[in-house]
Amino acid sequence: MTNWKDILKDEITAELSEQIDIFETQIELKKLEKIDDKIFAETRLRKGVYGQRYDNGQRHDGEQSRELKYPSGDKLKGPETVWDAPGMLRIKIPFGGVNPKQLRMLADLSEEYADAVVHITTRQDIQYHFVHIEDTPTIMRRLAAVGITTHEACGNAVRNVTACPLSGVCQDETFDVSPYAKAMAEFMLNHPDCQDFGRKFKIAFSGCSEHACGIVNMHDLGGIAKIRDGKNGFEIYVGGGLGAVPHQAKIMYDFLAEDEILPLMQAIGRVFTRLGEKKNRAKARVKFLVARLGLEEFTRLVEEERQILPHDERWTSYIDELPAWGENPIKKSSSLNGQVKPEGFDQWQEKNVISQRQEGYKVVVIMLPLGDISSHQTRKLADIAEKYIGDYVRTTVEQNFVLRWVSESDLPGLYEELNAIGLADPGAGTIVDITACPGTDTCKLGIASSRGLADELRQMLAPKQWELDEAVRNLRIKISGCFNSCGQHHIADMGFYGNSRTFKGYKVPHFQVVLGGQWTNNAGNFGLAIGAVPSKNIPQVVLKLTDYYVENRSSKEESFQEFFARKKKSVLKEQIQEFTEVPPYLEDSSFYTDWGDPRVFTLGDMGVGECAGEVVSLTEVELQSAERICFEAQVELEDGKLDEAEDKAYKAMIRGASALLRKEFQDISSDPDEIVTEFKQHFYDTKLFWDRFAHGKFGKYLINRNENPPSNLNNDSVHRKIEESQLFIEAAHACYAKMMDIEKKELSGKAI
Amino acid sequence: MELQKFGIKLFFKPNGSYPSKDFIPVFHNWIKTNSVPEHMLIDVIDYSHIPDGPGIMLIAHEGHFSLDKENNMPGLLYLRKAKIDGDFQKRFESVFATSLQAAELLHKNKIGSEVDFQSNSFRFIANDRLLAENNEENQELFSNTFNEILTNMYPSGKWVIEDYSQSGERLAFTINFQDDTNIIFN
Repeated sequence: MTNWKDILKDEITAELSEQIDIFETQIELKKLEKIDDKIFAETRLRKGVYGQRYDNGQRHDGEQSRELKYPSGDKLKGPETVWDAPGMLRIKIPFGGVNPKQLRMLADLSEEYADAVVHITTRQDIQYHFVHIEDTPTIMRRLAAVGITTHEACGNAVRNVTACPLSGVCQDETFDVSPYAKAMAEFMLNHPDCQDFGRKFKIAFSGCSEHACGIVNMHDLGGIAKIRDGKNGFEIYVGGGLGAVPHQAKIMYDFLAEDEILPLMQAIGRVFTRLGEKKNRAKARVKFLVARLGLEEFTRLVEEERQILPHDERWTSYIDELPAWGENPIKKSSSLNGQVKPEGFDQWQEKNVISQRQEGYKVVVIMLPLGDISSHQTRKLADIAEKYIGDYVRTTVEQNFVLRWVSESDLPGLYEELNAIGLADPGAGTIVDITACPGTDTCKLGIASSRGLADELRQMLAPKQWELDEAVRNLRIKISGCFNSCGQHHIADMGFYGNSRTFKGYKVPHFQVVLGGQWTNNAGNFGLAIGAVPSKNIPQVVLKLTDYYVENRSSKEESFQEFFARKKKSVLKEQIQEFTEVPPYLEDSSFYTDWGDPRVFTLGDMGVGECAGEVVSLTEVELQSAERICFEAQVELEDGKLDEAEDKAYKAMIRGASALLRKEFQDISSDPDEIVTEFKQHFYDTKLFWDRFAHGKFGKYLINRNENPPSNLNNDSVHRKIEESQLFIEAAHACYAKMMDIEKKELSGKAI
Repeated sequence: MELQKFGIKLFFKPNGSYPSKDFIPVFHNWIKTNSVPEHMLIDVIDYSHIPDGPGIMLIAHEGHFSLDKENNMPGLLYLRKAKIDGDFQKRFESVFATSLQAAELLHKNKIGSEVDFQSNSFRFIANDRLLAENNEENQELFSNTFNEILTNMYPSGKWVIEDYSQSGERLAFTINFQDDTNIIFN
């Protein structure tokens, strides 16, 4: 047999096998141009086959944008997505559970088809990068042979179902949510009621309400374990999400019995399919449907749907098997009993070892820098897992692995074996354990280098982690390459998301500083931006803010979050003010490049930019002014002045729109209605303001606010309005940069 | 022998110590100047944070170049992905030539200090478990094939094939020349 399909035919379930066969056929049909680009794009997304940076066949080399001439020529695998361009493959790992056999397969495939790196995502998935689309059916078959699927890992579908990685062994949990997450994942996979969503749908389970592992509040649907009258069930949350404008999930049911959770999701799926937005992707997540209908009406419709659902045995069949669910440790429980500890063991044990509720057993956290592990390490990790714990490895949303059921007396030996392969870095769950999305490394949407910044911060903080104040050491940093929040920056003590600013004609990578987010209480609070700082100054911002906290907290008991909640936003902004300055290019050119990337942002523009001299345009000044007003909105919100805060958020957008109009016209009205009308005519309708991926979403924030001023404000709704305002201003910066590019091209054309 | 996906690793000299990140601008410059013939260079990825990992990678449509650190044996690894016409000897010669070209480029770039390679050693890595499963039969098959190929390439050379990869890893082995044969920059 000379192909994997024949070799593995008896090891793959008929259903998975058929799905993969169909996808392989679709690839062949697309090669023959018998499938439309858009349809094929959604088809491959549903199989986890995603695009990647530069897959439009263009790459800026620091001087100019150059064409990447792939052998496939004009053949596409989606709109503006070249067939031969390497892409990303996302692999679903329900509740993060993975065993040694699966780890070995993941290692093998990363070598043969990707870049020999296994990457853990912020939703417990695995990702490969630089994969050719024609290799994907084989990868899927080999994964299927060890019980893993990529089906519905991307696209408008129910994504990976996540859960606390400590479920079943956690000291605080109400009960083990793992089997429920598994049942949900299996039930929803390819479910006919969830095939026509307007957007993706994310589900999470948590074993307790206080701790963060499940981060239920930021999911479309979440369940927190609860027992009532001796019966297992869940507190059900709906309509949460991060994204550009985060939404806290709302409690849909205080308690829903375990036998109702699968039919509930099915009913939600039907309502979401029927009433969810389909045309405007920016408003298509279920959080918008819940907001539009109101929670009460949404719940009523779901319950109505639930009543007419045809009975399905699978709703409850897994419950009968729950008594048999459980993990069987391969080693007897034990204690350290004064064993000799290897060098570095104590420091590692302090943060990387967690006591299970089962006496004598520990969970070991393997901290992976940037969520990456090499194929070689992955294979060795499989051997180590097999030796010490058996099947019980899990991925985490903090982009780490955990090993469960480690007998305590095995810890020194396990540490030495992990250390030998570079997997015993200390400091899990601390300030050095930084979460970052792929950002500009591989993501098409990335604006700034989130991974580059994370690596820089890690290298700066790791050597000094033992000298840090304990409260500082326990902080969490999360970084996204853009406003879309894949790095979950909203729920970090210190969050950062990438953006860019135009400075004297040059683009400079920046990160917006987000403070006040809460990782605990299942993502209990979302942070707010306090200002954009050049990327190269972020390390200093981290040091400044942590020093400021240590020096000014009321007592050692005052947490970082309490401290920043107590402090005025304006005072916080003052702390970072000195780092917002960008030195002239000739004085320090490093500010004009991103971390780990020597290419100067739009170097081709700079030749023209230098001719423009030191003149700062009025548009730049006004855009800065818009940012200031938006910040003032946050201050008003902080003071509980909801109307004022909302009004300032709106005025900030007006100022941003006015700044753009000033670039084009000398005489600008000061009347908001006229500004919006002009903005709509010259920037929105012409699509000049449109984002390549978000399209008109950010412009709509202003237009909608102008047409329909909000009433019945509450803290959440104003919070969202401020987020929208900030995004509008980001888009205004991007639009201004685009206008400058066009202008320079025109000038350049005239010179020729 | 149908194997198409395989690679060659050229080892740095044992005393060579090169900060990984110094290679990032070098690889970016290779992209800008189209430095590797018959390759469409796409991007540079920094994996220097992974111990024992691929270090800095230069991604190309035809194959990836990396400053591989596996088994604490740093070197330049070229792993071919795209098909090459001809028999296995021809394919090997092509991949070997690309590896040597890349090594010479790195040598000329002088990363802080001059990048030097071991001139009497290279590692062969089969990157296809379907066509080259790592078992004794294939180890012998590929060793015999390499003995024939190397006899044609270095008629007076003496070498040993050793350090076979462990079970579970990709089929791989190292060719160590026992004489003054210089495979680099001839």
